[in-house]
Parts: sequence; C-alpha cells; structure tokens
Amino acid sequence: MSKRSPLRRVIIYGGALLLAFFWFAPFVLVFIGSVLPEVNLLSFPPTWFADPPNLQTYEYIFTGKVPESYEQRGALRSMISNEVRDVPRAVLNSIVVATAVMVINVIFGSLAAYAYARIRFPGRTAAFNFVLMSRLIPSVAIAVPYYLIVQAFGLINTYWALIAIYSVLTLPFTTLVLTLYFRGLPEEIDEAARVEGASPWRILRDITIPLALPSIIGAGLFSFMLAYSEFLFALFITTTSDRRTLPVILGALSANTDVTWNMLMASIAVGTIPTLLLAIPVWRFMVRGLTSGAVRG
Amino acid sequence: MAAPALLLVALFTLYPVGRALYQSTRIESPIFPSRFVGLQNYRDVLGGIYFQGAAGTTLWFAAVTVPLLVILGVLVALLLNESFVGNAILRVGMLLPWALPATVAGLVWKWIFLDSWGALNAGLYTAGLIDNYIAWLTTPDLARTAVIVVFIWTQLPLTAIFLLAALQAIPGELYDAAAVDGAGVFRRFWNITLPGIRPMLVIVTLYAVLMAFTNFDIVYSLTQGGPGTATTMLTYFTWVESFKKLDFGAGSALAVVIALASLAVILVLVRVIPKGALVEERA
Amino acid sequence: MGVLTSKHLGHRLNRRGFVGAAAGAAVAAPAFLRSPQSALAATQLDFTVWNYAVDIVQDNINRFQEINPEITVQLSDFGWPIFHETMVNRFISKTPTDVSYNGGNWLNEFAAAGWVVPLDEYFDWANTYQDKVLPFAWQDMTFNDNVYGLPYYADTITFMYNAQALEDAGISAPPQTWEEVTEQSLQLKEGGMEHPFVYEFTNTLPNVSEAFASMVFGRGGELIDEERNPLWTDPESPAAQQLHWLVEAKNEHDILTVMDHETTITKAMNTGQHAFTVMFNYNLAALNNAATSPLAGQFALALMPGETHECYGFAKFYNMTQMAVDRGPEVIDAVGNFIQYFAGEVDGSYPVAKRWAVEQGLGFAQIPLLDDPDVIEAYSAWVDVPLWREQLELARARRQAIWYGIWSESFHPLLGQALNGEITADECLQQAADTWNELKASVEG
Repeated sequence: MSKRSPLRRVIIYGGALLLAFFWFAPFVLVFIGSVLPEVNLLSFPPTWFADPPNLQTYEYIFTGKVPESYEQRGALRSMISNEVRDVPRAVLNSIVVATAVMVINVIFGSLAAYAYARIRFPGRTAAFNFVLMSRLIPSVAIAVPYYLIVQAFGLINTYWALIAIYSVLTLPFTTLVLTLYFRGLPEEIDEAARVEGASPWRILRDITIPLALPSIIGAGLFSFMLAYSEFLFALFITTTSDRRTLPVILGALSANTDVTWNMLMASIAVGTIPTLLLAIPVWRFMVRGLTSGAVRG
Repeated sequence: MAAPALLLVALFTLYPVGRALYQSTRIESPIFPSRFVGLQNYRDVLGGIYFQGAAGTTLWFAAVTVPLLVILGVLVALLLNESFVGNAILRVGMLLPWALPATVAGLVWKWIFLDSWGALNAGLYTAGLIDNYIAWLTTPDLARTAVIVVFIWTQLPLTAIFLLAALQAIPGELYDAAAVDGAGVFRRFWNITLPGIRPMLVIVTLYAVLMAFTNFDIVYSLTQGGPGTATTMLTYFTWVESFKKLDFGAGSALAVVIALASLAVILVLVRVIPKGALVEERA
Repeated sequence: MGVLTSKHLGHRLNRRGFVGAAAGAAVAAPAFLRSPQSALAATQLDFTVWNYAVDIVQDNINRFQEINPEITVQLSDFGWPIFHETMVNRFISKTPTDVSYNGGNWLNEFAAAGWVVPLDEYFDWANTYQDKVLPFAWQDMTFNDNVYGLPYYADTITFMYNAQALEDAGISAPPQTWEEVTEQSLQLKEGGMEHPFVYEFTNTLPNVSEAFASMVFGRGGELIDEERNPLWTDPESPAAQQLHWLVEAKNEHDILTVMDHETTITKAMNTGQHAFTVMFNYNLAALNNAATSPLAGQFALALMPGETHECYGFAKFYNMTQMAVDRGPEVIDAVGNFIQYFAGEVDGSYPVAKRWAVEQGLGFAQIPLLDDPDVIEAYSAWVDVPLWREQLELARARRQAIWYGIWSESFHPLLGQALNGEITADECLQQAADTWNELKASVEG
C-alpha cells in the first residue's frame, strides 16, 4: 500500500479502536460479571470491585462445588440455579447437532448445487426458486407443522429431529451459494474431462470438489453456526435437559426464579467458548473461499 | 444427485406451506369450533390495530437497520481492507458476535442495558455522566434503539465480511490505473469500488432484509416485544396469535402476509441483480 | 374420538415398546424380585412441569418411585414464560403427557378444549380434600363445579416494601391505601429515590393480569361480574381506578418503573433504588435470602393497600390429562397415586408441599400445614408470620372465564401502551372491554 497521510492513519486506527470496543466490550463485561459476587453487581452506587474476583461460578458449573457466598448461615436453602450445571451438556448437544448439520450440508448441499449448476433437468428453475422462497415463511408459522412431522417419525427429543430441521433450514442457502460458485468454475475443464471419457461422478469428485473445497467447507461452517444458534425449534423439540441445546438452556436460565446474575454470565461465557474456537476456521474458509467465487458472477 | 436433499426439503416445505395456507382460511382453535371462513382471518389481522402497530414497527425497523447495516458494512469492509496493526484480530474476533446465538446475544446486552443494575448505567454513573439510572429497556424509544444496537452488533460482522471479500476481488490494477489518471479517493470509490462490489451489495441487502423481517430471537430475549408494543414485530406477533391466543388461523394468515411482504421486497431487489448472477439467467 | 384414541394408543405402544418398557423394566428390576406382578404392570407416567427447582422435583419423583416401584415417572420441564405455549403444542400434537402442572388462568381453556380432566370424576378421594384445602385454592382448581387438581403450591400476590428505606425517609408505617403509596413514593422521590414503585410487567408473563387483579382486590373489587361481564367499564370501579393509578404513577408522578420479571425485580429491589412492589409472595423469601440478597432482612410484607386489603390467591396444581385417561385404568390409577403422593396426605402429613414451603418458601393450601412448626420456623426467617396469615385469610380467587387467558394476551399490550403514554387509561379500559366482549360473544354466542 502507498504511504498514508497522518489524517488517514488517525481515521483508520480510530475506526479500528471504535469497532474493537463495540464488538469486544460486551464480552469483557460478561467475563467481569461472571467472576464477581452477585451482591457487588447489584450494589448501588456501583462498587463492583469491592471484593476480589474469583472463578467459583465456573467451578460450580463444571464440578457442582457451591460457591462460598451461597453457604452463608441463616439463609434459606441457598437459592442456586442448579440448571447452570446443564450448560456444558448443552454446549455438547449443540456441537453434536451442528456438526451433523454441517456434514449433511457439505455432502448434500454440494451435490444439489452441482446438479443445479451443471445438469439440466425439467423444473430445475421452479424447484430452485421454490426451495429459496419457502424460507420466507417465518419460523414461528412452521413450528407446529415441523413438530408434527418430527412426532410422526417418533423423533421428539432426539438429535435426529434437530439435525433434520436445521438441515432443511440451511440447505437452501448452502445450495444457493455453492451453485453460484460452481457456475463460476470454467466449464471448459469439465468439457475436457468429458472428452477424455470421465463420468459426471468422476468430474465432480476429481475436479469440481477439489476446486471448490474451500467454499464447501465455508458453507458447511456457516450451516454449523446457524444450527448452533437456533432457538425456536430447539425449544419445542427438546423436552428434557439432557437433550437441550445451548440457546434453549440459557433462555430458560435467564427467566429462572433462582438464577444469579454471575452464574448466568459464567454460563454465557462457557457457551461462547466453542464459538471462539470456531471463529478462526470460519474466517479462513468462509471468507477466503466462499465469497470470492460468488462475487464475480 | 440432488434428489436426497430435494426430498428432505420438499417434506419440510410443501407440507408446512400448504398447512399455513389452509389454516389461514379457517377458524383453527382448540376452544372455538373449527370452520372455513375464507379470507376473514386476513381481514381481521390486517385490520387490527396490533397488526398495524407491529407492521409499522417492523417496517420502521427494516427501514432503519437495512441501510445502516449496508452503509456500516461498506465502511467496515473498507477499513478492514487497509493494513494496520491488529487487523487480523479484528477480522477474526468480529465473527464472535455473529456466531453467538441470538438469544444469548440478547442476554449479553440485557446485562448492559438493564435498568437497575446494568453495566451501561453503572459505567455512566461511575463516570459521573448521569445522576440517576436510565430506563433503557422500559422507555419505548430507548428500547427500540437497544434492539437495533444488538441487531447491528450481531449482523454487521457478516455483512462487512461479505463486502470485504468483494473488495478484495477487485483487481488492484484498476486502482493503479485510476491513480495514474489522478482520480481522488471519492472518484475511485465511485468509479471502481462501488461497481466492483455491486453484486455483493445486492446479496447483502437481500440478507439484511430477510434478517430484519424475521428477527425474533433478539426481541424475544431482550424486550419480549415491550415495553407495551414498542418493539413488537410481525414475527413476534405471529407467535402471540398462535400460541398465546390459540388462534392458529390468524397466526397462519399473518405468516402468509409476512412471507408475501418479504417476497415483494426481494422481487424488487432482485431486479437490480446484474445478469448472470442468478441461476435463471443461465438456465 | 375412538379413532383418535386407538391411533394414539398405537403410537404410544410403539414408543413404549422399545424404549419405555426397556427403561421401565430396568428401573423396576428390584421390584420384580419382590413382586412379579407389579413389574409386569410397570406403568410409565409422563409428567410435565415448568422448570422451578427441577432437582427437587426429580428428588421427589425418586422418593415416589421408591414407594411405588411399579410406576416410573418421566419428567419434562419447560420455562415458565413459555409453559402455556409448550402445553398447547403438546396437547395439539398429542405428545404423551399424563400429569402436568396447571394453573387457574389456563384451567378454563384447557378444560374447555378437553385436554385435562376433572379429578373428582375419576377418584373418590378427590372431594375429601375440600375441607383440607384453603377455599381460594380450591376455587382456583375448579371449573364447572368439578375440581381438576390438588395443589403443587398455592400462594398470594402481595405488597412488599423495603422497611429500612421507609424508616430512613422518616415514614413510620407502610401504606394502607393506594393514595398513601403515591404520597410515600413522592416523599421517597424527594429524598432521591427515582422510582420507588417497581411494577412487574411484560407482555409475555402470564401473571401480569393476576397481579393487576390482586391490586384491584385490595380495593375490594373484582374484574368481572357473575355473568362474566367486565366491571372495569364503570369509571368508579376499583379496576378502573387501579388502572388509572398505575398510569398516573408512571406518567404523571413518575414514581413507578416497569420491570420484566420477578427475578429482575428481586435484584433491583436489592440495589436499594426501589421501595415498593407487588409480586408472588414467595419472592419475599428470595428478597430476604442472605445468600444472594445484599439487603436481606430489610424487606417486609404489608397488607395489600386499599379499602378491604384483600388479595389475589391462586393454586398451581397437578392436573390429569385426557391422554392419561385414554391410556386406560392402570394409568389412571398410577396418576391417582402420583397426585396423592405429591399433593395429598401421606402418613398424616403433606411431605411434598411441606418440603416446598420449608426449603423454598413456596406457599401452600393444605390447611394442616398452617400450624406445622417446621413451616412456621422456616417462614419466620423471611416474613412476619401473623401478618402473612392475616393476608392469607383475606385472599380470594378470581372469577374465571374460558377466554380469560386469551383476553389477557390482548390486555397486556394495551396496559403496556397505556403505561407508555401512547393511549390513555380510559382508552385502554375501553379497548380491553371490547376485546373481552368479542371473545365472550364468540364463546357464549
């Protein structure tokens, strides 16, 4: 890049600092909230740091060891939201479901996209449009029909139900993005391979997929994130805490009568860790692969 | 090859869409006798004051957030396209708010905005900027602002990243040539950058519109549509009609209306998409 | 009905055949050694609750299963703000549910929909509890002269205040009337307390209209007459007056602030920025719980302000579903055992209800527990027991209508708009009456 004027540097660094503050400050606040006793958080005028921070909330979430402040004498049975202990399990549930959704998207999404991009069949455009448009109906309206489908298959409160629903919700998008990408790949390579006598399968496996791999993984990770975040269907489909996903557990926790705020913050922090771990691969694959092909059109 | 995906999708689309259309023409409630009522539900829903309020709020929300998202998205993408210390951290880190479940994002910000012991009030008070805590979540205009802030917080990262990818795909030679011709910053933006990212701008706008119209989780966890009906949007209203008032006919009619409205907006936007960017063009 | 039932049974058998029976057999194995018959008759009950202290619920279930090894109980729990929606979904889709929590506000619509069944039609013992349960709770569990459940807990919605804050402001006694609430609030506001009164309100909470009802009861009023016509259309009615009070407190005097949930209010009260609130009475236990509340010990009960000091009393209860009945007599018997253990008399005591009262501060309706020394001792830690009993005697249930819950979903946003100052109190009352009359007409014709 060329030399920059001082003004430009000020704008760039000022903007970057502002963005960093906007995006990261809430996370810092969550962490602070999770390590301070709740009495400090509730103090007015605020004296948050009157007591030293500690990690007892995290200890409770993972081991069940009750924090000291809860064991004061003379109190009623300590009001402690034992449901926060479901959080690690909920994170696991979310990861299991989201991973399966990602795999399904990678496999079926790329197959469908390839079909749309390369193979002509009757009703192709209509089918494509219908699938895309069907996503316009708000989730709330399809919650009951989806529930009935899931129930008809006897899958209430199972991973399978969530995996199926999230796959349905994410596949159209994956297909769209990958179709756009496949269309961007020069068809001449296919032609050449076909002349050599390669079957469509071989072309897909040995040429198209390797070329499109970053995009495919990127789209897969995108579907992972959507599945990891979904709330409404998970709310209806899961009926016991050992199957609930993170958004459902945290949503219920926040309205729990005996929730303490530092516990809730610690739960949120724990629930954020997988997201944190995923941010780097998402960046690598999604941004570098996924978009560059689709953009040029 | 597309058959497995298509089958699964068909089961989960044809049936719910058909069911929604069917129910929307009936009284469908466990406590009132079910019967066909034609377009009565549509008339009731569209004519009701709640619908008009919620539709107004939704349109207002979309009208504010969509341009805001797109403009901020371009600015952030331009910024991230520059090289500066910490760029990589910002690029990767900003994925966090987007990847966070929206319900959880709502809770994170609730902790900030809470009226009586939220972090924002505590910070402002400690800094001596306010003498009394501000009721962020229970004052209508402030609550609406709060919902917008959280929405931007969660959606801006993806918008910016898509646009950044588009920026990076613009060949550098174009800028070099323009610089030789003596074009200024704004000329270069207008003549090279903007046309270069136009297809992506359309995609991002489409995405922002869809998100703005179907935003449910943030409202649900941050304000529950309140105070009063200040942040009640159409999707949330659908939930209330169906599950709280047991009026599945009206709920379905509402859902169809929302879908048609989104469709209309998208059809208008699709007209701007350049030839070749969509499947139909090359079919 | 017959078609539905057999189809439904088929579905259940499938599910149970592979999963339920295996699990049930595993749990009931020790019992099999003692009594082959009971193992063969292993019955699984699906029990649905809102998720308050689920660990205690599960522990109670375990105890029940020890006594009744032939019954296994599968617990499902859901958040309180979405409980109604969850149950509607379960009933519509016929998701196996045999016993569930329920409340008076939903009993009418669930019973009218045929989803839940009256206890007294299936169990002789049901009506024998009438003299052992507080009248308001009994009334809340009754629909069309049939009793539908026995209480999980029963409580009142009461007026709470920060005694320390009042003392500091030189106020000697808590308010007796709503006018005094205003006066004292203004006095506290003088002293720098921005919003002395916290009002629990959000559109989604089922208990908003109940809290409103409780304040109206304090003035000696009711919401509807015996023919289920709205009373608040009369501007002199207690209901209209109380609505005006709320709107004026918020918009004219600026002494009232709104918060979305009892947990938020409990914490907000503990910041010392507020002095008065109206909530479920058990929240006083949380307010005065030294483990989590910085200002524990400062909070006290006052009789509901108003001319008569009456308040709203309710019962949350165990309810048998139509689905349980469809499964046959064994299941009905098992549900009977279950409800009797959880809410009824066991060996001369009420172990589960007592446990909730002692450990969590939940209210109860089982009259014998009123004199139980353990309960009194536990309650003394957070409430003035004689005053609490006085308020309990003044508690009454609300008149019911099938569409009450549905109407309240329209009423909440109206009330919210009035509190926002977007419509006037009179407009709110008028529109609430219009909605009520529309619903009434569509049900009663």
